[in-house]
Amino acid sequence: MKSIEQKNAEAVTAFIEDTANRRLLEETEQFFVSQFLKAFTDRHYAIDEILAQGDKAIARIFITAVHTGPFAGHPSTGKAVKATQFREFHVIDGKIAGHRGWYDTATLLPQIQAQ
Amino acid sequence: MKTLEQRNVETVSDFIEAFWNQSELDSVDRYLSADYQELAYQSKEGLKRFAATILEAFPDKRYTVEEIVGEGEKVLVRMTVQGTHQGAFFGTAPTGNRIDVTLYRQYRVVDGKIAEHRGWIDMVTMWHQIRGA
Repeated sequence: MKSIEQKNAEAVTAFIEDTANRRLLEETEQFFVSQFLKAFTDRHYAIDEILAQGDKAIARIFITAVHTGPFAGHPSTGKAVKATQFREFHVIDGKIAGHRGWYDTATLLPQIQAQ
Repeated sequence: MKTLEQRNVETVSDFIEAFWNQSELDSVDRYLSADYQELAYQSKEGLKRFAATILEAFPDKRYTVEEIVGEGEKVLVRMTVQGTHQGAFFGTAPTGNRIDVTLYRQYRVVDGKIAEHRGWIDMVTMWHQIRGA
């Protein structure tokens, strides 16, 4: 018998892996998000981990992309980069009732700064 | 009777309050395990040094836990840090600007002690606020 958390983690996994949801999974409330999506192209997504408790589930998503446009004052480098996104889900009766995302930029910046 | 997850969430919440808000840097001795693994600031000493650096740069800093999820040994926290840039921060002279930045921290709690930590923060937003751009 699966716990509610296991079922919710499965619902979140299916939602993230459904390419029809790709645009939804790229949006965050961070001021730079439109620049981020223009600067980092050929994006690929993979789930690193999902932690769930009650009706909450938080996914840590691993993104690989190529730095092809200016970002946060740094000109494009053409480098392959790795980025992390957290996305929090509210799951009710097996359905995604809401979600919000956030990009980590602390690990991203050193990858595109001039050495 | 509290679940393991509830107790772990409490341990992490108490540590965040004591260490990051009350700036009791020696509270690491109470909350962290002897074999603590620090994956964001190199070591327990590195963690304390970083907290001291932040305290000097943002003396009024305040961390607020906005979301916290426990599963097994793991506890994941979303929080904000707010403060005023009143001291040098990584070579940038004080600007008097306010910061309000989101960060995530993930802990592993074993037998009531924090045994591992890693962290993520939105430095692009933080520098944007510091520079007032």
